[in-house]
Amino acid sequence: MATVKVTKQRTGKKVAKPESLINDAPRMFDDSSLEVGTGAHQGDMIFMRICELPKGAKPRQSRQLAIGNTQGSRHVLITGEVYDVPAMQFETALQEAVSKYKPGKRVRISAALVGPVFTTAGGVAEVDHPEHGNHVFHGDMVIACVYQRNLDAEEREQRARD
Amino acid sequence: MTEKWKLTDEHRAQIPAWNDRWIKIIMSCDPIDVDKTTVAMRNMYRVANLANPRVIYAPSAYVGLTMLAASASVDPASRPDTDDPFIQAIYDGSGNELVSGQRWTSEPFGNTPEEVIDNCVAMIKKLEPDRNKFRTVLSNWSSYYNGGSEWGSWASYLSFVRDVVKWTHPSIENYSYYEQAVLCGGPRYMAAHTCIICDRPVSRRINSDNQLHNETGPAIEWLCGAKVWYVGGVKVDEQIVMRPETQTIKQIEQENNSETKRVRIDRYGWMRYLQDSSAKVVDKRHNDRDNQDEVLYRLRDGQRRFVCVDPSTGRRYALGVPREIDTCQAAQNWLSSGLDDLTVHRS
Repeated sequence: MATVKVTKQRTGKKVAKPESLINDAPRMFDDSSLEVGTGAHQGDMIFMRICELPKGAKPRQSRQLAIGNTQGSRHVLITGEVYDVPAMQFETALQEAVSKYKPGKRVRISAALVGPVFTTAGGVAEVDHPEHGNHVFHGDMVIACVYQRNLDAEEREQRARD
Repeated sequence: MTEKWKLTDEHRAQIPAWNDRWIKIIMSCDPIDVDKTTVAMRNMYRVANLANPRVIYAPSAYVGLTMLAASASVDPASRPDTDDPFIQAIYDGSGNELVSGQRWTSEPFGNTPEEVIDNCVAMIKKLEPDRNKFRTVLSNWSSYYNGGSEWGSWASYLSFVRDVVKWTHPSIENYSYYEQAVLCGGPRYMAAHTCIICDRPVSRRINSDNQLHNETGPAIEWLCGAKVWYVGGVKVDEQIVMRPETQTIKQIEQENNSETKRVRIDRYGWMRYLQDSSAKVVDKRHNDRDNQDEVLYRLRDGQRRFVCVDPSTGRRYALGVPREIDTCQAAQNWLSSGLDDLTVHRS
């Protein structure tokens, strides 16, 4: 449910502060709203649509898409099939998709930021999260998960964890 | 032959009330029922074809862990002449003498889980345990551990299928012992001949999302004296909760967990943090896609911090980006390994 918290400025006029516009409503994606080579953020995770499931993909047991036991790591695929893909193949598949959408754009994903790949099953894949809106993918889609990164206090690159 | 079960709309309608009931069980801070838990444990050992165990009561899982390690490593013949309940329990399992609803009262073992364990270990060392056995048990604690009532979520599923769906199966009788240990007991350690049953916390504070949360004191306190501190489900230390203004900029900036760092800065105060850390604005903008304001700061030491708000939760984060980043869009792109300008949505 999208909610807007309204605050009052000194003038007495009510305005919505940009940072207080909260949108945790479920988000639907289909062929027209998520082309191959484009993606969507769910918290610290990025779902990128790729052309097809890489050949080296192996089904995996865990449906939790991010490692960890914090609330922030609970991106859980509740509908769809999930796979592990070797990092090289992952990057190649992502590059192929991105080139299709934006020719000439180069993509480099370090191995530590490579997540699983999931596909729709029966035309739907849904990623649940306790705080961010669910992401629901309709149609025949293959989605590659990329973790967001940041620098720690000593400016070392790390996977963002919330 | 047992039939497969199916969840009907009638069953689903009972889930919210069921959840509420079980969340109360999981969060319970009532004293454990020593007698009933002991019976449940003995039954579980029996159905697993294990010898009847010695059942020992511990005032918390921290003390219980050291008791387990001690009971596996001290020489029973070397029992010292003492009325200390901790030592007695290790040698005799005297915790069994407790009656239901009674709690072991003793001097606190320490203020933090680490202090409690260290102090218990120091007491046990005087008993001259076999150090290898002692260390092995301590380091493999999780293989002996079950959370009891705190792991009630598993039992809530199984009991729902039995009580609401009315599914029957021969294993349900054996499961009832496990369920009893959840309803009447707290965390426990199960070894071949010894079972340590641990008391629940004496207090547990949560917020409306059932996350551990207390902005004015510890989130959980145990009988043994240990306390832990949480804000919005994020584990922090006493200083962050009780004296947030005394944090230093160095403490905040050396925090590697981004959730803890966020809580640290929230408690310290964002404006104060940016002012005290002499941060300069490098770039700012309104991100139309996310409908959020973003600011890129340069800190005193040259590091860059990109301040953005998660559109789903409204939480503000200060994320580290490389020093060469000089616009908010470049920061978003770097954080997403160059993918941000290909994304159509964020929540």
